[in-house]
Amino acid sequence: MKLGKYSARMALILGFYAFLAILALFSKAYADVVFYILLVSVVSQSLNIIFGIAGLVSLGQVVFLGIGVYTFTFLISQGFNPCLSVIAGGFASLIFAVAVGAVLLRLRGIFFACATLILSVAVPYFIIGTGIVGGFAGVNIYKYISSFYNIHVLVFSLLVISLFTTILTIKILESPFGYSLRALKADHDAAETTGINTFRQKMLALCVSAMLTGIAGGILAIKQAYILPLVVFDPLYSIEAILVVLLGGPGTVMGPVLGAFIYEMLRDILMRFAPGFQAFIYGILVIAIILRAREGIVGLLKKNKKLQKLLV
Amino acid sequence: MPILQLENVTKKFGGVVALNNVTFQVEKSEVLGVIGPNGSGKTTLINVISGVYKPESGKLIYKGTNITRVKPHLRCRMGIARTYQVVRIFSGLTVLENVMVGVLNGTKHGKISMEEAMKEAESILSYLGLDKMKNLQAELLNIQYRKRLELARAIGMDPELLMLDECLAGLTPSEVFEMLDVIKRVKEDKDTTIIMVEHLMHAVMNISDRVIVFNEGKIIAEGKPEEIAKDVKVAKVYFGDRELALKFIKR
Amino acid sequence: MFDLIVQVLVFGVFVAAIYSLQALGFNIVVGAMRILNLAHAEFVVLGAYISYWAWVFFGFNPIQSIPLSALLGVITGLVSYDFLIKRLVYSADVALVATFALSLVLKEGMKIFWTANYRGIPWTLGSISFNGITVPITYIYTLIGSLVLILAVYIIMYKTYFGKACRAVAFDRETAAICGVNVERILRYGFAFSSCLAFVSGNLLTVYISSGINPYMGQVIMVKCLIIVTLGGLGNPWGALIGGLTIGMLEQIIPVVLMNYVPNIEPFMFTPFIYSLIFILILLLKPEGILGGGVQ
Repeated sequence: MKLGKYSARMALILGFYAFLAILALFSKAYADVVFYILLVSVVSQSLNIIFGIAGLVSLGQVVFLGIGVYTFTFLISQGFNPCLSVIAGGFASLIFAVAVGAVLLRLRGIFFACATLILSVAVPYFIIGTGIVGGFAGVNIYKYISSFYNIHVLVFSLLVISLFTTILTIKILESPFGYSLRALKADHDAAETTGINTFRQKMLALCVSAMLTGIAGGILAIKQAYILPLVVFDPLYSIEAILVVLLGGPGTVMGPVLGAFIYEMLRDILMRFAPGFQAFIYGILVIAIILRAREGIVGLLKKNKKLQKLLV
Repeated sequence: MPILQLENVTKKFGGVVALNNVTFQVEKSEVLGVIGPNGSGKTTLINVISGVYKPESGKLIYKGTNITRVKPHLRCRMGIARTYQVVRIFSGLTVLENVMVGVLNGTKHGKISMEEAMKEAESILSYLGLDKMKNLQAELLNIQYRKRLELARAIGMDPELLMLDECLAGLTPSEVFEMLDVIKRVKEDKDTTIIMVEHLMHAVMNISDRVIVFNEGKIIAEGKPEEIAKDVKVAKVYFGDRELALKFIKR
Repeated sequence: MFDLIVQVLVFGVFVAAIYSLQALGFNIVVGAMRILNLAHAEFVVLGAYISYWAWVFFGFNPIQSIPLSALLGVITGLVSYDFLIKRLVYSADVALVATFALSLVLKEGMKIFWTANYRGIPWTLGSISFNGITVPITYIYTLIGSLVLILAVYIIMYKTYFGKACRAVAFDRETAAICGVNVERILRYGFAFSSCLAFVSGNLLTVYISSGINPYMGQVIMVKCLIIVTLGGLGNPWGALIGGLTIGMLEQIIPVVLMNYVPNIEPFMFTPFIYSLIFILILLLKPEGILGGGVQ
């Protein structure tokens, strides 16, 4: 099925992003909300590439986010240019992903999943244990960023990254790379004997995913200003990403974006009416989706013939 | 020059010796039938040639190159394709997409665009009578069409050596007839060398130029189908009765 | 210095027994179902809480509350299997996410019902010393209890029909089915057995962590279980013992080494990182176990 570039689909996608942009311009409070939606969106879209398309379970996506945050924090406190620092955050995550992938991607997927989980705990404790970049007490980078801090610029940056990732995902799905990923998700060994270099494709997917999440981390660092290891590496980010991907539709393009939007509304409701119950409900939702609706919202909507042309 | 040579190939799984010092050759464009009782090492042979298993000792030479250490996906790009005994199609992809994966990653890897791959895949699907279901999700197909799809995917790779692992198992007689017809056409139109592991005697004996017989990891007989049918060792391994073996050569 | 080392090693053995119990349960599920039950650690934590509440409400010490934990463990296992696990048996990757979500639900559920406050059981019977080493008597009782249970597990796995069937299913599910094993039922009871072991080991764990019971302690437990099971070889029962012993020892030795030989490092904070390194190292050197490394 070809996904045409100039069609109702693109209009829908651009319309959605335009909606978010307008919402953000409304007020600072709304901008905050949209910031968070887009952050979760980028992390989820990145996870979608390795989990939704390639079927590689990652339980510790937060580690790529956190490395982006810390790389930015370190560089900005040394006086580097903020834009370069953000991009460097992406590269740091990329390098980390390459190292992790080189060891783990040759093994069964469960090892990779467990390792991401363990690493998302290990890295913050490494920071705390060695005391680098502030260690347990963290670092306050307010003084480095206050000169250029602007919530709308941050939102706009994330929006651009999210849109980029959306188009990238479309391109991937339409390319031999995307077909290879979907094939190796379906049957790893048969993919190998059909000519697919599964290791290389998984590694590539992981690198793309890590880099995008790392860049988002750099931007998150600017927003947070006070960088604490256990706050930055909060496992909730990993859980959110998994929930959003499953909710929206793993393997679809707009699923994670839509999922992020719905998730934020859910989170807001829970915060008002049942604080303290959030993670509990997220867990139940994930289980419910896995048992009943593994295709996610967009996946289910795509089953309708009329909507198939419109959704992606 | 033979397209494939195995020299002293041994494959063990713990204490079990699946292939015991196996040596044979496959000539270009021939159809080589591989028969033998269950557990004699036939599927292991295919797995070793396609690269899924690494032999403990021995050499594999394909078109003059030593491929013993070459990874499976690279062997595909060199022109080796296979099907599986228990069909392994890519669920979650459509019939067309399944074949496209083959086209994109076989001998034409890196040299073909998505549009060309799609056209190629479509023509293969019509070749095999699957074009009406090209946009169907692959997992919805029944066994006969699944086997054809797997064959289509393998053909899509444009291989020089095609290995079929019991591709006729589970098919009704008319389905077998159709499949054999397809295999004959592939052999003639594309000049593909075919290694065919099969249990269906009349099929193998009919279509093969040569037959090798496995038993307990060793080759116990090699030759033309008529010779094999008369071979006492083979008959013993299968039936214990010569007359029955001769009946099969007459279809 | 020598005394310190011996003391540390002796304590290592004590905890090793518990870790082995935990890992044994984990191993059974991994072997038979090919699923990594990421909620296993939360089962252990639940067992610890049961031991706590049994103390608070009935005055049971951790040895006396074993039957209670065992029973609740079996029930929890059966319920989890019927509602969730049995639908995951055919897709290993999704199973990971699902059990991860289950662990989250249990963790947060415990926090909601019982708060995140640290709990502990002040159970002491004094200690005995010899050769300069002091050992609390409660530890000795717990060690004996653990060893008895480990022995029981081995007897069950090797001498009873149930155990042999479990191992058969772990080795080759289809052939086991052909030989008359009711695979569905074995998977169900196997899972219940595994969670029973988890609950009981958690029950006994409270003796060693006298004041640290909290809903989030599962994280470290899970890491240790994963390391033990990967170290000993996934699905290999002796591996659980060897792995448990190794981790038990390492756990005692590493903080001491760090404190004395590596400056500028907060030892207890660094230990999780060390565990992860060990895990990755094991994967680098010996990734086999029964599930192997995919296509060669």
